[in-house]
Amino acid sequence: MNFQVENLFKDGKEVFYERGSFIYRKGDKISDEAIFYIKDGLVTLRVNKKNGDKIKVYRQKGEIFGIDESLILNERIIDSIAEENTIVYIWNKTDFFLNTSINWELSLYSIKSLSSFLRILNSEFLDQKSFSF
Amino acid sequence: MSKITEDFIKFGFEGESGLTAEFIQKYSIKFPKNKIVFHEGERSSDVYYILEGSVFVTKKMHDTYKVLTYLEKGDIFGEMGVLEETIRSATIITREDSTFLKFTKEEFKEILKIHPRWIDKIIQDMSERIIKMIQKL
Repeated sequence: MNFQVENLFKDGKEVFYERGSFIYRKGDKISDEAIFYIKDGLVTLRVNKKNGDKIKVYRQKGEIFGIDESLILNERIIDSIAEENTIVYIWNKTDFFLNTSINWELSLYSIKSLSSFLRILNSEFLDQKSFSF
Repeated sequence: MSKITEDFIKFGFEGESGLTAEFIQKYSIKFPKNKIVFHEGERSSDVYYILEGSVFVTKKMHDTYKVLTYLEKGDIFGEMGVLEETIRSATIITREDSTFLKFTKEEFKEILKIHPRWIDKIIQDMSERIIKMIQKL
């Protein structure tokens, strides 16, 4: 957990999600309140593959989620589920992206969050094209 | 840590339009087509900016390298391992003859701090890569 980042998020709206409830679902419109910081609990980000398989990525206390979709899209393409009773701070995406431009800790924190997600997807996704040496 | 020169700050502020011949000479590195720039699993120490050409981002599967995506002029690679202070997550192979600007971890962090354009670009690029991958799965 990064206390500087948590302090920034405390300006956001605090919301409690009961274990098993959806924080958002695939297809939900992305409102301005789009970036989540986990104050307490555990969240599953669930990617539903076309073949029916699911990829689960866990986000725990002190981690951020929701950045990628809210920056690029108008609606969610993954599910977010409270794996345990969870409290999140929800942040306005306009404020969030203004702050990533000026706050080094938040920037680094956000990049690390995206990077860890990308690593997991990298290991799942392999195109047909290949090289041999 | 290397000295942060005026040229360095100019690149940080202006991007490619702020590049000088001296800066390019100091930081650029050329690779021919189909050459490995770095391997998955290696310790991360440098970050690359694609000045010319393009690269494949690959994962080694048995004796072949499977292509995850490709990156082109203006894209950055190597930043994930450096910022996360962990090992390389993929093997990078040149798709054509390519020229990169190569920065140490310290130099790259200085660039990020010079102008918010770099943070915005990295967050935007990573988000696009994540969304594209999810949409293909």
